[in-house]
Amino acid sequence: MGVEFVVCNLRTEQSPTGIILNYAQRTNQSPYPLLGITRLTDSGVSNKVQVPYKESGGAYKTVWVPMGQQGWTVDIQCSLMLTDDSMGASGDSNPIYSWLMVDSGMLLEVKSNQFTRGNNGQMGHLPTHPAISKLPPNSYWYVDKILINSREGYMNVADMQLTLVRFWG
Amino acid sequence: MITANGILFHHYRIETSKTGQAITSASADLLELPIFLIKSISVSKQAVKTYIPLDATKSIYLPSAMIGPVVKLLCEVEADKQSQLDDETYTLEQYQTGNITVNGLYSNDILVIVQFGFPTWNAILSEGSQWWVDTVDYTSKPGTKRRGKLFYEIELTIYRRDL
Repeated sequence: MGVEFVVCNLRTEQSPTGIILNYAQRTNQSPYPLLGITRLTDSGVSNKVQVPYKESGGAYKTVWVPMGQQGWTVDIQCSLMLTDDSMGASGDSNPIYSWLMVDSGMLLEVKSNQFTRGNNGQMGHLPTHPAISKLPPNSYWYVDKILINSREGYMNVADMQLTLVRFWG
Repeated sequence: MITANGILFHHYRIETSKTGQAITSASADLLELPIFLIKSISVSKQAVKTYIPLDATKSIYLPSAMIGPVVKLLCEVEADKQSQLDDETYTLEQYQTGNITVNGLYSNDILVIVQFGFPTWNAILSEGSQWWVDTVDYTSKPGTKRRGKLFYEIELTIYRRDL
């Protein structure tokens, strides 16, 4: 189970009628594909309005009115591993380096949610491979939080926790 | 030359003094710390954002800033020579009462990376980068002895200063 992202720039333009249009534009930058996904969960916190009131008996209570959601969020846990070839590399062929360069607030587009490593060791999009339905192709996601931990005593292996929030572009 | 997982910091502190009504701040040079041998690194970045609700399930997310990078380092540091004389009796108390040369490291101090050559991770902990010390934890674990030298564990949380 794997996913490949491409980094996008957010372009903002104003239409002749004054409407502000946001759209994402792909860059040439693709962080190293995530192949070692161990857990993928979606979560969200409701945006709410709290209305306090006092009961006739004197007790203080609050009415809680949900209004929208704080993001459409997906948490991804995965491992990143360096091979002998990628150890000294400082580009996107080095999975840890590649994701260390990803900052929160960056916009990512799902290029493939059926990404895998084939029997010949080559990585690529495989249409027959099970898709990650929570990350549909061409959907846009903001990086909310990124946490990369090296494993104690092994600085060539890292565990990553990535929180993505949906961008409705 | 230091080993690949060794990191060398130069230590500074902003010191504020008051002369009459005038308050002045200056950076005090506290020289280099002993080499920290890194056991694990954790790098985190978190967006500062605003949500504008669209409907019951959707909202527009507007990132405006980033908290971080915040780096947590679990390191080992060698005890100074004086404490190494007394074999097998090292305790946290000794560690905290002056036998280790990193005792003078406090929160809000500034660390500048002098040397760190470990591939990949030096992309974040690059030489010359400046970091604020957020927390310093001297763990209560006894020291470990390797090749006749005593090492203690220290956990350091630092955040980037010079972005």
